[in-house]
Amino acid sequence: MISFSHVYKTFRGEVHALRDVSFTIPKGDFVFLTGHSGAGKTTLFNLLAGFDRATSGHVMVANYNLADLRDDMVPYFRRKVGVVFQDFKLLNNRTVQENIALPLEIAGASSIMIHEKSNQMLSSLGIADKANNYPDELSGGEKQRVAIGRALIAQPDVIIADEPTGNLDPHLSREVMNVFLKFNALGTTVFIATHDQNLVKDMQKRVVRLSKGELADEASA
Amino acid sequence: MKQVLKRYIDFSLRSWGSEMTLRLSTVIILIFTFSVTIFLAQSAFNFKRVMNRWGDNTKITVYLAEGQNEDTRQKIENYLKRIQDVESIKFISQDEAIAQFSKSNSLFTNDFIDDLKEQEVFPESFEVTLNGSIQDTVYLNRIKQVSDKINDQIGVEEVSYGQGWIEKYSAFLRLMNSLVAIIVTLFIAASLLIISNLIRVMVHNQRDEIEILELIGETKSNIRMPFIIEGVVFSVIAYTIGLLMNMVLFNWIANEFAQSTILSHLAGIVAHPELGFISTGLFLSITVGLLSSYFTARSVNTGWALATRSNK
Repeated sequence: MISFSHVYKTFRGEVHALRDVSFTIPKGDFVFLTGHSGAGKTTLFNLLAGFDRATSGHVMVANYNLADLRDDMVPYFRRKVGVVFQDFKLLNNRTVQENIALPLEIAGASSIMIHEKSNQMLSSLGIADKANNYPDELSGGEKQRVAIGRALIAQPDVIIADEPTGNLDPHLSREVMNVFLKFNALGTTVFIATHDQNLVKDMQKRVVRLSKGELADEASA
Repeated sequence: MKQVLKRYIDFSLRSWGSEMTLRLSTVIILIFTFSVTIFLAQSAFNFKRVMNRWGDNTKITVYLAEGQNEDTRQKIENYLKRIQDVESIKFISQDEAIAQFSKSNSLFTNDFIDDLKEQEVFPESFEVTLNGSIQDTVYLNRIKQVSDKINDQIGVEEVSYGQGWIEKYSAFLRLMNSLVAIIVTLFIAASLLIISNLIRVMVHNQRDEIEILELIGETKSNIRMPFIIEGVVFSVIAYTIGLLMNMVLFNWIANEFAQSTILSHLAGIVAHPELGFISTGLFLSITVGLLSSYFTARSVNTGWALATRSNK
């Protein structure tokens, strides 16, 4: 489902963010990506989500070979991957419900379907009463749930999340993880970048660790 | 199409508040440039219509030398009939010339007219009406050549077609057409830049939203579409308002001419923009809006906003 093979990413000025990274994640797996700040987590995350291209090597996600993917096909690949951003990336001029419904709107779903599915998602995330609020009116935890709802609503094959609990207290972090577990149980591959070691220990899942842009080690659950 | 329009209306309503000043100022500047462009183009058309009107009345008058017999007159008439582009030939005797003169100059006394008769001031002549229009330079040159040939005929005293004013007016018209073409081109270029600038600023102001839409999987064309429609809509709005303003202005000018004793004959010539003019203008305004917004949006929305930022 996810495969990195000898992946390198070099930024301008010969900054090597990733060096010879190789790993495979089977379909339906739940994996944590850990490492210190500057280890290359966000770079790997961006390559995985199709937000950037590797300098060399092969990245396969949901049967898409991202190295060979034509520019005009990239948006269709991005629709196959649900992404939760560390800074949420919500549209402040849209309501909570509109933000959650955005992937369905982009995919061209009917208004009835958009309405039904977004209502279901709002209820399952426990923010139905915030449907008509704007992101500016929400707490950090609520924003995080909106971001998760938006990532999950189109039922993607893969969910990747960059520090999804970075802004949350332990209780809310656990709640958010439960949401991911729920979707993982339905067969969705989940890949979470985090530096929260306690969370990783609690969850007892497979871990991929990066250090200075290289794969340091892998630990199975 | 319905989906595209829905997206545009949605986009427009969401961004209207934050970019109201920019949009209004752009539309005002565009209305000004389109109004001036339409005014100049329509003025050029109206001058052409004046020229056409005068061109329709263009006649070559062939004055005969004094004391020509019937045979010579017939030879000249036959020669004139053989010339291409001659629509009609009319012989005007001395008596008819005097009658025409006294009819159009009723202020002169009968004594004065009688004196002119005695002095034989009015020669016999042929009035030759030609096909075509004098605004055509080729045609104007042909008139000159034909006139010169007629002038060489035995029994012809002088050939006149109002050379002075026709040549001057024709030259004026050509100069004006060239100037209008240059100014209109400049104004169209200015409109392109104005719309381009609007779209650039709008894209810049909404770069965060564009980036998020890209990341969620929106296609580049769908992201650009509202900006492109915006450019076209602004261009068409400005053109429509500019056109209406010009229609009111030319209507007023025509009314003023109609009320004037000297210029009343021009009232029918001063025209509103016609359907062909309006359609061409509409097509141009759509093209200007489309090209400027499309190329601007294309250059700033690459589909790799996040990667571009990271790689800097």
